[in-house]
Amino acid sequence: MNKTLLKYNFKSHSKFITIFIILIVFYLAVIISLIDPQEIDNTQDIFQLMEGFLSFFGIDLVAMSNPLSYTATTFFGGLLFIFIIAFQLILIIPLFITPVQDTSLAYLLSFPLSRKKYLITQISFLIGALLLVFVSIFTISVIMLTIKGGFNILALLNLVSIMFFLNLAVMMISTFLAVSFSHHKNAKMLSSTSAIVFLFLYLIGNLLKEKTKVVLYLSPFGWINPVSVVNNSFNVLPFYFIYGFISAIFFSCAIIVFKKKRLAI
Amino acid sequence: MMIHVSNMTLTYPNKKGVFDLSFDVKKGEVVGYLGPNGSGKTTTIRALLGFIKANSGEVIINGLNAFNDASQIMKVVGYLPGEISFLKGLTVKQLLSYTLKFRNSHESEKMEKLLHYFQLNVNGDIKTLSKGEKQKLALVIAFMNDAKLLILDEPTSGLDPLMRNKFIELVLEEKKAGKTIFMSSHLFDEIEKTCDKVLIIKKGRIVQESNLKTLKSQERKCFLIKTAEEDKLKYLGYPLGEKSAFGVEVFVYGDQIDGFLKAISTLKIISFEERKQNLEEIFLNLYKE
Repeated sequence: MNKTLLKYNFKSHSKFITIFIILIVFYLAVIISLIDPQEIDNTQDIFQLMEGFLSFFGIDLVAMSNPLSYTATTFFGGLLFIFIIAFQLILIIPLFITPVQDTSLAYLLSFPLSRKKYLITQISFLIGALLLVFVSIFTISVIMLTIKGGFNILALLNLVSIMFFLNLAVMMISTFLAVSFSHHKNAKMLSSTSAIVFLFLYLIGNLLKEKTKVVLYLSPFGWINPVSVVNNSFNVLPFYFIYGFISAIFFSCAIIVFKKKRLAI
Repeated sequence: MMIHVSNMTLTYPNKKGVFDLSFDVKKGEVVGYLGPNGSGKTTTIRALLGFIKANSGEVIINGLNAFNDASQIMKVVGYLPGEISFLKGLTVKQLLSYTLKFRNSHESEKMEKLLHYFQLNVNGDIKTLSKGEKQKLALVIAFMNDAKLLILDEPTSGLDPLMRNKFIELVLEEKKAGKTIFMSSHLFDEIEKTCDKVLIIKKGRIVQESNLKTLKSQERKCFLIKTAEEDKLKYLGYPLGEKSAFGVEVFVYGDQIDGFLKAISTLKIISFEERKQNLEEIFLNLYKE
């Protein structure tokens, strides 16, 4: 890893990361503030009015039995995925596509900086930025849920962690595509394809009836039910390995592709 | 040997590229790489820097494989790209500071000297710099680490004549200090003043490799002839140039002069004048052939 490049990345993207974290933390705080643990039924009634719309995002009204499962179903579903996909795509473009297309990569590779080191630094920055987002989500969730009353902090930690791994896996697939097609004129579109297709399958899968719900499981977003995770009714451990494995595979593939890539810079 | 290229072929999907290139650049040599647009100059430089792996052949820089050992090679290389693009959102000062850090160097003395030499203001934002100022900044970055080998792609593009002269002086100074320089250029003046050897590439193949003295000795003589029998001049078999009120240009190689003089002695000559052909015309002639 190259510390100078890492420092440059954090410096040049700090404004965006800060604004994004403020936005998502504010949104989460508002969502949690809507629930009153003493009057869960009232909250369910309010949400009942837009049930169809909510199920599109994977929000389950029946699951709103306590503030933690309410948070899990309202925030840690489609809405979070949309936020994170936007976040990763906004960062992936300047990290992996622009340097090839505007040839500024030539400036960096004219130093004693190997391609492998360069890519590991860029990906590490991306993972670091994602980690910052999830640490912020966890922190604000702890604060807000503490205000709302008792909750199982380990269950929340488990949920935030598996969501981090899930989004990491999707992000690594997008990174691999961005690295592979960085020279292509439609690189931005091609690199975002996988994440958008996964999201689309997840959203459509949520609307479909039981028999055709298999569509949901075609997307990595659909493999985890956030409410089951916080209720401890679902063994989440294998999914840490699955998402970790996907991330590692695509991380390695991105490095192999980039090391051999013909850089017309 | 600082650069050794042997039978290198590098092709793009559109079938363009460079084909079977072979050349050497010795330590301390200044080599000019010339050719028309799209002839393969930048492609060759990309292969030298390990940006693109050649399909076949060998590219060795300072004893190391250009593609596999690119990051090692960069320790001794100063590079000026043909298309200048730097890290975004920085001032000149910040970029230079990052450049030193990327090179793990704390030695800013030469950098300061070069900034002063090229009269570059370090306080501005890079995006506000003109093309010429960006080029000067790229020159500072290429030369500041005192590299043993300098690879420069169109180094004076966008510079005004004054700065071009300064660049020529800088190259001569570096040459005196024993640096090896490989530069592509369109400007014959800077090649003539700085280079020991010239490589001319056309349609991806090197068509000429020679030192400047040899190249100059190959120059064609140009005669401006005014005759009442212009039609007959055509049938003598020598290439003709421009026609004007002062006569017709006729080009003759050194070993053909005797025959040429005998041939035109049969014509009625009104005026006869020898025109000196400069290096630029020699190159242009080679490009055309």
